[in-house]
Amino acid sequence: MNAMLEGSGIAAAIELEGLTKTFPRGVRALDAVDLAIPRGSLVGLLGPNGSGKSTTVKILCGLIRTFEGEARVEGIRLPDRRCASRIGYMPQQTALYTELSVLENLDFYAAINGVRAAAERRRRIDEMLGLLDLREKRREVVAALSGGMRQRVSLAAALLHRPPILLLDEPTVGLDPELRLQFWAYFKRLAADGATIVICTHAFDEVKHCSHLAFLKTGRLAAFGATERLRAAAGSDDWETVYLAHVARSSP
Amino acid sequence: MNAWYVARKIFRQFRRDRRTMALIFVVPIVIMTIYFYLLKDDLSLKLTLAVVSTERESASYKAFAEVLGSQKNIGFLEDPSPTAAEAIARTGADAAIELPEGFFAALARNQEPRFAIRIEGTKSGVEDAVTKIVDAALARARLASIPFLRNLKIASGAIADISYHYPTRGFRLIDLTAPAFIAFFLYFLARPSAATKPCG
Repeated sequence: MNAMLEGSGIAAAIELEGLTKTFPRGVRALDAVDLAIPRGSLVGLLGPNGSGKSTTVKILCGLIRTFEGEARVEGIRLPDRRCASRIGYMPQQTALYTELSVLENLDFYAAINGVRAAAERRRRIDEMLGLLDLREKRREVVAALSGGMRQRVSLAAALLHRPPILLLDEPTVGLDPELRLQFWAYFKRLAADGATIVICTHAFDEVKHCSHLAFLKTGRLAAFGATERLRAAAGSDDWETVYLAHVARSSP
Repeated sequence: MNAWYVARKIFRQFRRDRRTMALIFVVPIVIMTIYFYLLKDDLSLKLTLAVVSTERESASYKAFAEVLGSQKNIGFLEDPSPTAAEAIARTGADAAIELPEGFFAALARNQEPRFAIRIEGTKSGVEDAVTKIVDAALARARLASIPFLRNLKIASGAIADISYHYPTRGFRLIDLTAPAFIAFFLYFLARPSAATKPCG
């Protein structure tokens, strides 16, 4: 698998080759995963708890630095600090400073992700606050915000430096249906604008929003492809059935 | 450059985090105040020192007594008791020095004569204060017969056998550290969690 997706002529934004991660005590979280994610795609990384979704994302954003195999982001072999500015990461649990206000959190994350000019930071933060409907809450400390509001702030923090690659670890967990739809609409807009988005989820009702899906099972990649192609190959409209069919096919 | 942004963020966090501010400013002030009251006696330590000697007429003893008598924080007593222990029992002095017969002669010969220091034992810091001043006084006594060396600051060479009238040696360590331990335990027991990490 190379920087050009096989036969498609599309450049891959993320490439994994034989990616294997074994934690202490021999727990194998990822087992020889090969994957090439096309630029501008909205990829759902699906699998049950412990299937290796979060480990994959943590390797991609540099939180896990030791692994076997190869991982490349925009052609840069990981781990590499240069990737930090190219990646926006929204962790499963919001990584915000609870005693700081929304503005202060966003200002900090923008600054450490390379938006050095104060005027530019202010402009981007203001734009993001408007986009995620956070203007009224901008001076409130994060500790006083609801879970949904924190998720929005966390997403804003991941997007401020306009990364071409977004890694979102279960971004819609705990959100009300209206907000979830808003998030997905926003993700689709970002992907249409050229961003590559990888979303870890085990919410099967949400996979229809993704352009591509990667099914993981106990650290192995069971299937990867365009959402519609995977559904058609399994011959079902029920996404749990589609997942199980592909997992069964890939089992030795 | 990131260090500046991280420092600014930490400063903002501190501003909002009263517990950490208390840890940085209020707790040290409280602990230093506790220490001040604990050590107040040590800082303005006024000691009564009894001296037991049979050589009071010698020039060396007079030089020794002159040094001790000139100290503002020493109340100098010449006691007729035969031993330091009896001198403490009789006078209630904080410490007593027992200089044996021939002590000053041995000192003048640059030998290392032994003498006894008995500490009463109910005040902290007495041993340090007494051994230092007594050694300085004995050094002066040793050089009493050499006028141009009188002001030389050297050790006396005499060896003190230190004993405690009331055996409270070791009291000082816990005496000094207990308030700090109590303050820290109270603080950390009252503190439910650190608030400087990201949530989640």
